[in-house]
Amino acid sequence: MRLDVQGVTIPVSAVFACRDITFEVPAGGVLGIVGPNGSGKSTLLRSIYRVLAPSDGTVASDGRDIWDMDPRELARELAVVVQEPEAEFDFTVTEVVMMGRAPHKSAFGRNTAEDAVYIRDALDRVGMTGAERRTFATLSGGEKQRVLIARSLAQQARALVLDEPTNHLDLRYQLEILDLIRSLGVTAIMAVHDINLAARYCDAILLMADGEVCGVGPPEEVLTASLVADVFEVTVKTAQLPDGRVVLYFERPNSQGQAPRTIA
Amino acid sequence: MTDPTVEAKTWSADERRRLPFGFVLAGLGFGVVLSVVVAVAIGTADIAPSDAWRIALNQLFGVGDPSWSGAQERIVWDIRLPRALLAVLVGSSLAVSGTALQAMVRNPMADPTILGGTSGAGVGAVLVLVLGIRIGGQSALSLAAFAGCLFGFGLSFLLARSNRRLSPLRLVLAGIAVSYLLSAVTNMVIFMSGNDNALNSVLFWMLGGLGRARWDNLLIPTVVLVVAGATLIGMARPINALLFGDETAASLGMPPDALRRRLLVIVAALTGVSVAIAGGVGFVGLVVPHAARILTGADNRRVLPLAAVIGALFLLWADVLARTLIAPGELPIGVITALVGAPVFAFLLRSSLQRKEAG
Repeated sequence: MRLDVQGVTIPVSAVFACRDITFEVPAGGVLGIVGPNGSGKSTLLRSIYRVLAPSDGTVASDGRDIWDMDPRELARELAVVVQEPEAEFDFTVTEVVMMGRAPHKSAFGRNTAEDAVYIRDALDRVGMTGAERRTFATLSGGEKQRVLIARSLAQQARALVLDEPTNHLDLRYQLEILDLIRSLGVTAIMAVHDINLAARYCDAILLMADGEVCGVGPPEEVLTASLVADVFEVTVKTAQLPDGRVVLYFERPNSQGQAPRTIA
Repeated sequence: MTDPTVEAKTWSADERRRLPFGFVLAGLGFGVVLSVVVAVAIGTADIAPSDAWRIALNQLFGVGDPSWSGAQERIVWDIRLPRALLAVLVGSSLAVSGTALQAMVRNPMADPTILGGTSGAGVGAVLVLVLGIRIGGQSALSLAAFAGCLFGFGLSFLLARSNRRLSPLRLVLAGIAVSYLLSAVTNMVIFMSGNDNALNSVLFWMLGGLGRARWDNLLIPTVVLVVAGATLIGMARPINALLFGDETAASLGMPPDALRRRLLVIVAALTGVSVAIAGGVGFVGLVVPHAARILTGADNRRVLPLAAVIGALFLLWADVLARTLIAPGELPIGVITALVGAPVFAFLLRSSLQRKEAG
């Protein structure tokens, strides 16, 4: 599914609004949204999954304005992975993934053998087979994230929106989740905190600051030391890894030359 | 991508083990029928259980020869049976209301009483009674109670809302404040109306009672329970989605705000109609959904019907206790439901706090 965002402007509040944001993601492309806290990443994502209506501009899925679509119709095209504060109700892993079938179901429609196949397949693809009857609350952060991705797979969506999918995850799970997202072959838009991970796993980067686009394009063009330094207000240094990849690392602007403070 | 830890852990501790749902629902449903039969035979008047059942069968199917007195027939047919059926209707309605409300506000400690709906319904009903509006028997009363219930819920939500967000704790606190306020309004209206029986009225609206059960009073609660209950079961998937959070619900094609508004109206109808006929019975909506979830997990496609059945059982037996414990006197049924419900509420509060500290 191709996603076009045209001049999207969202006046949520003066500070966190998005202003005139335009980009497109081709079918199967992975776009990473990078920017400091409060730069409008989540707001932009929420406008893409139809929670916030832009005051100006359009979001289109395969050329159709998402606000012209029925919410359920969009839900069959586009799935969202966000971790929300959990309510104290114990759903099992199967029940969570089963929610992904909801946009395909009528009110009194029963879960069918076909649904069970989708669920089994989804859990298999995220490596969570065997955990079907565990309660969601007992899973680790990485397992939860994978179950939520399994839900989006059961949803059979062709596009995925993820808000900080690697948040609170150990390094290994961060890499696993991003590998998994890449391996799905669906269009993906995700807000990513870690700039080096974003550069490594995304086809394109949208760099945001104060609700505006500071750069959009391939990672090596957007995530340059000077631009990142500008947007994040840090000093950026680059290093080349033995395999040729360039990684960035960061220091506070006025801490140049100082030894890093030891934390004890 | 296989995570070795997935295999390494043993699941038995946190896996959910359940009885087959159909079996549980059918068993408890049969339990309701059986309980109605038993409840009809229990009472202070000297009527043998076998006579009670023969009277009921005679009235229902015209079988058997009357060997009982007219008074006995009136007690069984005009008082006990409608009363047992009202317990079923009100118990189910309140339990289903509580289930939907808890999902709606993502808070396991919500119920129609705690969120101000019950006392709101009481205000509506009492106003109609005091103003002497008598249209269509129970319908003016039910309608006013429905409106009052909506008002009570609405007030709690407005008070708890800040920045478009509903904090669960604020909601419970706001609800309790609204509850007290609207109860006070009800009581004030009752005392100012110069009602000879003011104390009894106050007790009724605060603690409930099934003494008003008559055959012609059962129609409205039956229709509302069937229509609203079926609608809620049809909305079970969206209700589940709300439990995962607003963003998730929206992303699954179920806009949460519109969903909540619909749920609120349905719950207010169920609660309002129940309060209009049975007064302010508390704790059913709070406790029963948890019992249902213990039996079947969190999926509302199963929790809703199960809660309906358990609620019926709970109130049936609470009423039997209410009318036998201090016989020939009668306890308000809310005393019994609170005796059971308040400890459960305390337990929920504790385990919820512990979970927060552990998490």
